[in-house]
Amino acid sequence: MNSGKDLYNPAFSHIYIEKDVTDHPEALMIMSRFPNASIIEIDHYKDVFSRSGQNFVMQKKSPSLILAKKHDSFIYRGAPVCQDFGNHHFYYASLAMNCVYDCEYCYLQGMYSSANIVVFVNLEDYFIQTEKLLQNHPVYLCISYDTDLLALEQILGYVRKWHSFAENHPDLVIEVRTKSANFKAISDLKPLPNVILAWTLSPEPVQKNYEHKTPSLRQRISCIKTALDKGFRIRLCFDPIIYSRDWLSSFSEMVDLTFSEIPADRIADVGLGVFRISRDYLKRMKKNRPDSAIVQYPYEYDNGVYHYGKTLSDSMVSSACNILSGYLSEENIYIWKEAEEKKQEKTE
Amino acid sequence: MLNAAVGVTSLCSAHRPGSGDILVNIGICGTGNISLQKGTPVLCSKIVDISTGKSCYPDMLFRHPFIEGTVLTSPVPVTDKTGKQFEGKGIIVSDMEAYGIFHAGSVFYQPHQMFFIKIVSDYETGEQVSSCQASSLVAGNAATIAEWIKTIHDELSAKQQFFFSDEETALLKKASEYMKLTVSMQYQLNQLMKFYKLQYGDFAGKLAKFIDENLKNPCGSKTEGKKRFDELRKRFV
Repeated sequence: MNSGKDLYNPAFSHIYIEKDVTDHPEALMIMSRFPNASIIEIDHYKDVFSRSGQNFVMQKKSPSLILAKKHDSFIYRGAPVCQDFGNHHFYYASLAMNCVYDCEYCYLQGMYSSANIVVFVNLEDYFIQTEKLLQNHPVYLCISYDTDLLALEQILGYVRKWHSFAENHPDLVIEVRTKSANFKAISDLKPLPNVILAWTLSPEPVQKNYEHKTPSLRQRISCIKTALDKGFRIRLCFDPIIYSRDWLSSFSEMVDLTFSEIPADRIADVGLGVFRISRDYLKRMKKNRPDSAIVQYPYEYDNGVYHYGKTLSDSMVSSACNILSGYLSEENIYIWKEAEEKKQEKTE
Repeated sequence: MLNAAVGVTSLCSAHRPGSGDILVNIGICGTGNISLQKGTPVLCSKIVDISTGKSCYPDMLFRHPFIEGTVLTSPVPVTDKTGKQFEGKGIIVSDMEAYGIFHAGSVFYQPHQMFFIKIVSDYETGEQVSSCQASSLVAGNAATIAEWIKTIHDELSAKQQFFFSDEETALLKKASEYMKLTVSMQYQLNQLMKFYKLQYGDFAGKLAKFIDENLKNPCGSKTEGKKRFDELRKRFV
């Protein structure tokens, strides 16, 4: 009989599909990638995704795919807890919910009750909505926030489609954030000034211990190098920085390794932030992961957010910034600040 | 369906299941699909209440040796006379319990802990299935089902919950009392030590040393206790 890893179905062995999209071209294309999957028709994605009592950690061992239609709220205003990189008209689109990776600190496990991955197949409606926004002002749009689209590119092909859309809409800047090493899936695309590939990098101990199923730091760096050589605009995100007693030496080693492989002057910009999480998300995460040191850290709390405490957080940001300043000018380093601090800065 | 739901509720109320337990519903079913031989077990990935049209979905995390399908739960035996009014693709079978069991079970189990295996007993023509025939159909699949279920049960049971040792619990109690911690601070202390144990391992020796050095006697006031607690926090984070 099966045991251990073989006990579980492979990812996407089961595909749930809303009845309304069974004939949608994107849905048909996605399903064609999984000829052996069991297809289960559903009325609405929430019938599966939002069931009560689901076990996020167990579902991560064998996530299902849920194909659905988004009916409204295609584009959201950027949340205050997210880095806007100095962009005034900051938005994000939720094209998919959840990620193929399994990072212990990820806010998605606090945000969603399920580890299954929902993919909205009606891309055309997102494009229409984005065009409406573009009639009013330029738009900076993050398309890979609540998921990792590049990691899913072989299955969805969404980065390719948004790249094509961006090519015809120069006032639109899109950011594709990823931890993947899957640049090869889009390596044939033409680099565009308004398409930013943003890689999240973590020190090796963090990647190995807490970012399950993700490519190693070296694999990500190698991928970034290839993308840079092709001429793509690259952003590096050192966010979230996770505290441990030796975080500084690990961080320093990561930065040194990164810029020994990648020419720093060709990086568009860098994002920096220490781990912080909303109270409601952490509450659910603690329940989901009773054995995770990151989740069980004794965080300090104020204004609805858990964090390392002002003293430690400030010290971590300052040290990280100093290390990065050895490679990049400070104006290219964007440090995440709390909404209140941002507000104060604006008033000043 | 109602009886089945009441039965599950009664059983689980008397024997509260844990995260390592599983709920298995094995029973007979009808089907309009004559290509399915009698005695074929179907693992249900979708359960439809034929009266309301509502559906529910057990998680399908584990590999298995069965065919998968949808089960329609009806308050009366489904025959060509009752009419099904359900349009669906794939394997479809009908029973009289699954939907009720799922809903009652959901109060006690998570969706990955519930399994519904229906064994084809008739072709929905109204033919009678005797209890002897039903037992025989189930018995013919019992070994396969039991072997499969056992592996899953072993896997789920192996997942241990985090806990402090007796020595650690006693030391935490002593530290808490000596520092005059409030209930909220006691929670913070437990959280701190839980983190420490996950990150660095057992803490009994280190906490005993802290108590020995800093808490020889109970603190004189809550203010002093708070000061000691801050020191403890600095040492253990």
